[in-house]
Amino acid sequence: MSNTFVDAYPKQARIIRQAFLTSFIALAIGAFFGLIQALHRTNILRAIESPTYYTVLTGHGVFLVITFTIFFLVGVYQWAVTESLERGPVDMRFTWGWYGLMLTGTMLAAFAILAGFTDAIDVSADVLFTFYAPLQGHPIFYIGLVVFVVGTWLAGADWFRTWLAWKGENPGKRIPLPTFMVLTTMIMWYISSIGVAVAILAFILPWSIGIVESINPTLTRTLFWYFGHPVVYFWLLPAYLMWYILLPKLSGGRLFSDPLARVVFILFILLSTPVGIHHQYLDPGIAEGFKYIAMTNTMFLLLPSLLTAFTVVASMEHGARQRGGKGYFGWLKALPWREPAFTGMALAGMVFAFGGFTGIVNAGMNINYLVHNSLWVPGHIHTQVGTAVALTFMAGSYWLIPQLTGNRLVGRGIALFQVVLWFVGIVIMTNAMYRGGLIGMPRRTAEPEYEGFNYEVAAGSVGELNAQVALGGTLLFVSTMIFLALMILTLFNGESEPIDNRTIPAPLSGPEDSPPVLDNLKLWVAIAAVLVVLAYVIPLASIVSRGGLFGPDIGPFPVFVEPVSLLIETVLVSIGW
Amino acid sequence: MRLSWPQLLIVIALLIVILVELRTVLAFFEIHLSVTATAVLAVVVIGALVLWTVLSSADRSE
Amino acid sequence: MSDRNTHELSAPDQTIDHDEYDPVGTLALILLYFLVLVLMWLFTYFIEFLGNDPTPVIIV
Repeated sequence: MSNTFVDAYPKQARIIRQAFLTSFIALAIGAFFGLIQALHRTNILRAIESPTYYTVLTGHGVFLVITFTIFFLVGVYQWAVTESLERGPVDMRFTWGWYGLMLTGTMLAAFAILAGFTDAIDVSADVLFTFYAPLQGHPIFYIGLVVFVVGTWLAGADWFRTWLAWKGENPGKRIPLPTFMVLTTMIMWYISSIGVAVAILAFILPWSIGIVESINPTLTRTLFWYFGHPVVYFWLLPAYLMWYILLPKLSGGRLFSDPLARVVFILFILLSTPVGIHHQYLDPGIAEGFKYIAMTNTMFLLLPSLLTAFTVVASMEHGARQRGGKGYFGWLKALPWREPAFTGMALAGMVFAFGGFTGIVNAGMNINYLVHNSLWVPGHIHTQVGTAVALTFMAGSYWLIPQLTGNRLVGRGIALFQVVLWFVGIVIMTNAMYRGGLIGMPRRTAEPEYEGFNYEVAAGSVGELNAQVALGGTLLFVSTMIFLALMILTLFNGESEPIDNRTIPAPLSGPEDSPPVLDNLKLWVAIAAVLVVLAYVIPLASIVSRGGLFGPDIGPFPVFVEPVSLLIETVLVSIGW
Repeated sequence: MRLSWPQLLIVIALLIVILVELRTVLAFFEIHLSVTATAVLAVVVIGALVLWTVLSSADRSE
Repeated sequence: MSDRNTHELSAPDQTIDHDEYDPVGTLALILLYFLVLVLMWLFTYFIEFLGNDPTPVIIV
């Protein structure tokens, strides 16, 4: 008899499948856009005009790092909460409500981006994922983002509500670890996404509609990065959850330490937000001292990742030893490498460990100047979110999707090949990106080579670097397509049963070994708030006092075609003014 | 088989990665490997690994 | 409580509990990782700081 998640919680499995479906559609589109970019900027195949590159780039960014990652996150988190609290949400209609809001927001933003491909509709938002002012997109883009973010807020509220209901039924019990991870992630998300909400609602949206004439770009950039760094942990923490909860089980062992895992997630509440200014080391208008504080906080953020490296590897080793592994390194051979879910996550973790080094380079104020806005930075983001997160999500799907559908995974061997192909593709691509960045190749451009200028390449040639980017990008695209094909085949693989059941083994060192103060969420919120105030109040005050709330008369640089005045009329009429 | 097929696949992937990165490192020490030389090296190393894995009659079969 | 540490995917050959388990392999891997990190830092230092000439002073 099978004992899968869908057997136990069919209603919850349904919404999680839905979230994953949305996530994978975004992955398909985003991956295709990535392929176009890799071939375009290396001048190997130019299927689009260079100005269209920025539409593609915006879509690649938004669909992958917002839609793919966050829809996957809500799916995994709904699974984690349901599984660990052993109950569904208080009201499933509310759960479908936040999913619907997130979907609506996505559709609006996607419409604004994709409309940029055609002149028939006077809408576009080629503002890239960071939508820096004075680049201006169509208001629908910003409205879509806000609706999406509100949807995620309600999702968090839903999980808190489920937990409170559980707490009423189980007084005095410790928060189960997966739920603890979900709640702490959402606290971090609430603290940080306020920044982007204020940036859009108070400044960018009124400015794009035409209610206010001017904007203070330093202020909106700072508010964006107030959210923009924690958002990377919003992508990463579901991957962490899978490393802590699933990877030990897949290795054949048990989580090494529940208390250490709790400490790691608390550190992310505390330290994720007061670091955003490290994305602005080259921004004028922010004093060096504030940048220095952001750098110090950032270096502390290495701590939870190193703790994770220890705990997760120790859990894997426990599994390997239980499977008969011996020796200092010989145990590695006893790990279940034939299992794509395990291998994908292990390779993702490995890339993360070395990609973390390039993150330390980004975080250092002095070396950052060397790589800022160069191709190095996309190299970093592709090893981190593009592999540590994306590959973990794909590998996790190989275990989760059978649990959510009750069908056996199709093509386990092909799946193993897929995760390994991703690993090879990402290393080939990012190696060239890092090296290109070090010789000063710019990022975010369709035309990275200027006329009458030659890069001084330390090894090989620019042609080689380009070929490597194109080859790596193609491998990644192929890998994504294999993954999606296997997912579709598994979805239709009825009349079969998953080979695994849903049980998660208890940690070696359980919650009873951790001090209860770790579960005092209010305390951590308060400390986090103090750190945010220390890191941000004075810089924000100084930016506002120098440039004014709405800036020193900065007009828009519209990247949408429609005349602004016409738009104002439409909007005002439609909202009944 | 000294290694199972999945293990062999992983080791090949790691070798490709090491070769790609090693080429960069060597270049900084003024040892320049051309793409062809790297590719030949890769084929030789991976071929040797596959032969070593398949041709041995050790007891580790999975 | 029964040991729930069993599943079909990768059933362990034996059970090792908290007190018997000494993660020396983890220690070995982490030491290796730190060694690589140190080498990468040295590499960065020599290539990026000692390898590059100072910005040329051009007097017009």
